[in-house]
Amino acid sequence: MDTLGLLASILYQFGTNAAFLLLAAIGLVVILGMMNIINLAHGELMMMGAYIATIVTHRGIPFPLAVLLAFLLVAMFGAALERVIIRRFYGHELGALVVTWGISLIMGQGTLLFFGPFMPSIGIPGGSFSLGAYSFATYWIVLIGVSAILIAALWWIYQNTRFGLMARATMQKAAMAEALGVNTDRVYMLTFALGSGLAGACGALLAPTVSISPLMGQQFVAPAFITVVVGGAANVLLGAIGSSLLLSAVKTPVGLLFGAFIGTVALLLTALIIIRLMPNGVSFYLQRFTERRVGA
Amino acid sequence: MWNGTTPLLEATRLRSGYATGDVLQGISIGIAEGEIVGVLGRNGVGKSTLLRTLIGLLPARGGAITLRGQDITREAAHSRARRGIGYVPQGREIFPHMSVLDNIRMGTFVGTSRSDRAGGPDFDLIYRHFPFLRDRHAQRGGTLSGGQQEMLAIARALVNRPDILLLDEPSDGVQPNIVEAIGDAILALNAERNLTVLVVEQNIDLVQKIVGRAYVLDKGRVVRELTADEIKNTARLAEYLAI
Repeated sequence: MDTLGLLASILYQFGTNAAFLLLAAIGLVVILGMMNIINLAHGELMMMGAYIATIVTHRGIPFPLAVLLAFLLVAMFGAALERVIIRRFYGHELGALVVTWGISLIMGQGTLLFFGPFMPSIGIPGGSFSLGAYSFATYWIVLIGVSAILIAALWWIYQNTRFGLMARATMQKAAMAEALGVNTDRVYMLTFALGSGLAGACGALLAPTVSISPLMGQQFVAPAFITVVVGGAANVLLGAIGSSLLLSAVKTPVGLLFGAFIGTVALLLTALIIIRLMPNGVSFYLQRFTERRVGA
Repeated sequence: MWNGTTPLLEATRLRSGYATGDVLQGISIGIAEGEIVGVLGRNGVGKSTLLRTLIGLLPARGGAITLRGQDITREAAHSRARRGIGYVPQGREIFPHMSVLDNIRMGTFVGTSRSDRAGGPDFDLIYRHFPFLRDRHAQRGGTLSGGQQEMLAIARALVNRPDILLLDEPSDGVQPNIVEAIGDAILALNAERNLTVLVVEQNIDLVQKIVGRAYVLDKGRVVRELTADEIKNTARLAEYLAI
């Protein structure tokens, strides 16, 4: 029984680590991967989602509804940001980096001003169960499923909808897409809104598992960027899945054997090595593999 | 030299260019429905700039552009495309990471703002003229040869039955038998569907094969209009292509 418990525990750790990386990265996958905007306000968008979910949950709104609300409100905020500020920096990567950093500072400090340094967090929904000597939180199992569903839904949107087709074309050759009848201006706005909304929703989903504070966003930024960069630009969604699984496959066993801190160090080292050895990211190789199967 | 009716697409004293200055110095041209009109001239006289300005990728700095008599001079490129202008740029501009089928699908927004649009995209028409596209629909656009990419770009511009096709040097970097096939396809579509075409081209064979009338450009101006007979005269035509 205990071997089974240990096995389940390892699998559970692996799943939670991968789900955390994926949830931290999904919004950034859309904004960095599709628009090539280095969005340093990504963590603050997640923080905003966490605050929205926490505040409305405290007022008695059911948690799933709170997550949906976080998605919608942060998406609207993202659309406004894009219209007013971000759109002036397309093609100026460094400018976009600086301006999103500025936005992140304003959002972080603004939240500190309005809500103070601390907000009581919401309890983890669902209980826990145990298998042998090991205990498991139901909520993290749900999160593993939700992160898989989110990335699958995103994949489906980009592969099968009109918006997805237009967005992929715009990211590859904006002028040509425009000349074929795509309102690229609108595609950029919707893409930034979608990425922001996803960051907000993921912030809300992770809110019960972390402490809620104005600077909480910072803890998501590094894992998010690492996941996206290791994934590479050849196929950002495939890359995010591949890199979150790969990084979790390193972090989990090392973390179990030597503690969480060493596990994180191992994750960073792995990221360094992968970026050095595969500068195009994991997705470049995954894509080549899938194309060989298609027979291209 | 068109027959006096309202041209389908017309440019009047059109000026446009880049940061370095105006390339088009006041060009006036008109294309009537069902015509295949050529734009000739040596490199750097503004042929591609003309097409880029007509589709709206470059803003007009002066003059006017009308489609079916409606002023579209200040319209964004995507609105013009949706009115029914199909555009095949120089260098083809295939979406390299998208499948052949998705590349063709990207043409399905062309002409969608027309009030009288008949039916949806016509994939059969495309596959009849370029059958290899059906066989390779899952392949990535970027993995096709230059000639195949040119055919894909033309198919993409044609799938939603545009009113007019703007073609920028379809023969550039394309092997002769594919140039031949492209010429055949355009002639067939012109005969079957009354497709209107404005084509920039330097290849004498292709010009003589498809073009009914042509403008010769030099230094951003129309310096001559060639009739069908003048185009048939290879020596004269060669002279104008090198003007």
